[in-house]
Amino acid sequence: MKYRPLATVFIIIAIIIFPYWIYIPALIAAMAVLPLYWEGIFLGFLIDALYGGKLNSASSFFFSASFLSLAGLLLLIPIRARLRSHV
Amino acid sequence: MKMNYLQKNRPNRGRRKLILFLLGVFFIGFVIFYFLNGIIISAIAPFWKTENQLTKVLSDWKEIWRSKQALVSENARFKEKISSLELELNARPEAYDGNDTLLSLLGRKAEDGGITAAVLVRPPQTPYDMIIIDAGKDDGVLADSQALLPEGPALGTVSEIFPSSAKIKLFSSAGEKVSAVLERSGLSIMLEGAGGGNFRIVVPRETPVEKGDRILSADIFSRLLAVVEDIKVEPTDSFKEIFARSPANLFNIRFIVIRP
Repeated sequence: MKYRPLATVFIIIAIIIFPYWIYIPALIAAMAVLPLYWEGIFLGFLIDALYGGKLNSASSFFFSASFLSLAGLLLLIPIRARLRSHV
Repeated sequence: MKMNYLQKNRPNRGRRKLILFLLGVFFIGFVIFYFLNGIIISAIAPFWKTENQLTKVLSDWKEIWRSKQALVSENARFKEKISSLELELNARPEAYDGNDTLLSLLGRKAEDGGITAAVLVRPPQTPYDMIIIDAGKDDGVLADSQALLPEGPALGTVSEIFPSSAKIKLFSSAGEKVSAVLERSGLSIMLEGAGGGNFRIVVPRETPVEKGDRILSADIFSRLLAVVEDIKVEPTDSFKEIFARSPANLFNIRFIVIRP
């Protein structure tokens, strides 16, 4: 359970300091590994607030980090339901 | 007799709850970050400034202790200087004096000065082609002002302003379109950003273009925007695709000039 806040803090620091090819894979990994990582949506919003432009078109909204995080989490719900961690 | 019943579908109620929860989180995040956008940038900007200073101090300190490393970095600095001078030379219009005469005929003056700002954040830290600078509303930066390299080439426009910082959207941002002119043929084109300092242009097949050709801004100042890197043409196509690259290395820009 304590991995969750640790992962969140690491990703926040990575967003502020590191290049995108570190924090975006870290965010995707956290969303895939941690159960229902809803904090990922807020982290997506943080990326958009810091580095994104104005949302002036539908495409800019659909390709924003926040929307993609939401879409990723929604896609993971049925996939996770079908996964079995035991034989 | 033993009966085999078909297994009922799993109840979807739990899944629906999760979806609603995530949509709620998204809505709350949207409201919070919409209003706190400027505050977040202003809060983190001093941290970025300190990080830039620390990086510089650390690199200087490392040079003292590592003589070979110092030579390597000095060499890199000189290379950077050479490329900067080459860029300045490239950015200079060929008929420079003629340009001045033309501008005076039109009652316009070649612009000097502007607001010089240090770059706080640049790609690859920003996933989109954005740059954050340390000058903002308090320093006189206006929205939609042009952002140029000190050597002359145009980079982008100011998209958002905060009290002591501003965001610059580069022309090379994916989907961004800017009017330009192919210097060789004088053809007006639409330069389309492809991300990472790259551009894509589609022109008629007969248009004369060669690698290394310059693409200039369509305004009266004819600023350098990009340099042709590759040309792709299929035998069956009536158009050809040109790939161009920003003359500046976006990954190590340190200063830019803002002009209204």
